[in-house]
Amino acid sequence: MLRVTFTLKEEDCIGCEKCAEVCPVMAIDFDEEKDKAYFLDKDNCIICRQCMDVCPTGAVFIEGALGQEDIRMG
Amino acid sequence: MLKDTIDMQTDVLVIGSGIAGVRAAIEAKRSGLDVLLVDKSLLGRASCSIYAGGIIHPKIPEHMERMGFQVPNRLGLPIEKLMRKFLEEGVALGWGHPFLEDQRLMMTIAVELPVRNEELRDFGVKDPYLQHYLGRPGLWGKDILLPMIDCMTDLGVNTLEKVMITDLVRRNDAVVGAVGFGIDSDAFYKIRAKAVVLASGGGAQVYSRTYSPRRITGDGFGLAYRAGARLWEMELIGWENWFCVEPKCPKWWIAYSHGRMRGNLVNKDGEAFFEKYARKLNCLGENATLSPDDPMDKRYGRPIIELVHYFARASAAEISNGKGDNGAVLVDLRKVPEDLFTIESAGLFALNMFRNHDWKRRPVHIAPAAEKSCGGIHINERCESSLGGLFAGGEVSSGSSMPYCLVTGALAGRFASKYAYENELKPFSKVEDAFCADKKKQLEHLTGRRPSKQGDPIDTKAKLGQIMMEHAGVLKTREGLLKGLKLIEEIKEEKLPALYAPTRRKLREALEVVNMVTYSEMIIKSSLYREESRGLHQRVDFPQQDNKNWLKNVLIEKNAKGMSLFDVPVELVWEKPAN
Repeated sequence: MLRVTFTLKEEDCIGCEKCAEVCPVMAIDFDEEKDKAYFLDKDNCIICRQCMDVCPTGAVFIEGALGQEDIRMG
Repeated sequence: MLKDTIDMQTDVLVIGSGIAGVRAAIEAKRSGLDVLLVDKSLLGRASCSIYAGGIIHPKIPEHMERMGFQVPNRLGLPIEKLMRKFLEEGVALGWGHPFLEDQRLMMTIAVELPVRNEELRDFGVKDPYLQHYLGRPGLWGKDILLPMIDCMTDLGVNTLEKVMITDLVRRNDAVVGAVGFGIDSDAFYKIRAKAVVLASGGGAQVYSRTYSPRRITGDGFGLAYRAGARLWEMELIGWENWFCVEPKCPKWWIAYSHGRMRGNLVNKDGEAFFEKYARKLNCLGENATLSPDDPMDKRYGRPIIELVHYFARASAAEISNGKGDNGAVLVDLRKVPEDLFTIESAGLFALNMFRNHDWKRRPVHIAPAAEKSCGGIHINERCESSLGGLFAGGEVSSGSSMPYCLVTGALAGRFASKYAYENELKPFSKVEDAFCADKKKQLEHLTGRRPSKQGDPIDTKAKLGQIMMEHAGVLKTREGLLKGLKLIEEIKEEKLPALYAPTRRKLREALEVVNMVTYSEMIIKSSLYREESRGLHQRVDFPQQDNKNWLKNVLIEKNAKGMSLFDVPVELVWEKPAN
């Protein structure tokens, strides 16, 4: 099984809500009191990487998942 | 909250930023008009289009051919044959409700599709054809939609992100604008427009099992209904069989990878059951090998994409016959070599999804899930709705595949522009201003209401999803539908009046709930109305397709008493069914 790690660096999060906004499955949510995003349910992440795309400060990381670079032409 | 009122005006207002909305905005801008595009989330990012599997597949990567995979070569067909295929399979609208579509619209799509497809290169899309196989894992539509959005903004289309349109403003029989609120700002928006294009997507989120992104809540259906526009075919929901329900895995679609295609669909006893149903449904291809060693399209003799809803029906029937395991069937991938998953992005996507599940040892639980809305705002071949100045394109207008959304987006933009050139932009009258003020008051009322357990929008969404899944799922019965309707009435009476929204994000959730309840009611009422089974609409108590009595469209309109339903015969202008 794959070992996928999810990281959201709280100190880099500027509270723009963009990652929570684009997540299609609510794997990331936004804590309005703390004004920070957080992983609500990592298991439900489909690794679409939209959160990484839109984060202006690079605070969100998903590592260990298979990506385009892993494609082997058959 | 909502301190400021911002008055805006534009020639064409587009609501929604999926492929249909963006294409409509580009079309209208190219006509030389002022265009404003509004989305309740970030541009394109909350749409279905960004997750969709590309446009159409006229050619396939060399390595797939070598492995014996078939991909339907639709673009190679002459226009008439392509159109007939659309009608027979409902391909353009979402696979499988034969002969219900507007044939003039289908012909328009068949004629325009090759041009619209090729034209994507002008918008900066590198290769309009190969997205499905060589795009990024999980985000295949991205390489189409994001360049189009850049192109749209370069052309000078004005955009508003995170502004939710809550109602359309009507003057006599025409739509003349819209009102909404800002999710990141304290503003209430009053927008005047000569023409409005609705392209806000479908509403599959009304089902608890769905893999539409979570902002796809049927807002366009609610907007159009409240404004008095006609809607049609709301009983048609696209179902997808290959939806993972393993507890520690994402609840999402398992993509069409080589690996998955070599798997076996079995019930709790390990018996392959699809063949049994396929024979009964008469959907196997002539050259079906029925050998478990072949990939599924060879095994069943047809491109797998054409069998989607048959799989969902077979699985739903097997589960309701007590042969399911915990309300799911199983896909057995144990004998599939891992290599088969790693040669294309769809396979990598599947492996990422199974990261917490040992698929080499245990089969994967799957169950049919709602994929898309195949009914919507009633439009003609010019994408005009039943109200003047209101045009609709994409999933909100009754179709749901990327080809459909792309072509209807362009059509809606083109005819909205024509309408805008022919009509003047007048100030709002006193009545219209009063309507806007009333809508603003309603929003403030929601934000001012005290929180209660009854009125929690997220809780209500979850409850609605369960009701719809249980009572208006793949296989419907009169009894179940009536029970579902009763439960929805209860939500309307008990939960909607208590809805509250302490923040603007919650306000969006609350208004989505209102639209979802309206849409759910439409699905159930039109499912009760159509007393036959046809493609995606399956009634257990009326199992036959009845071409004699039901070559009709079921329409919905708001009248003084509430939701009224009626039917009109389908105009068979080009093709008639064989029997």
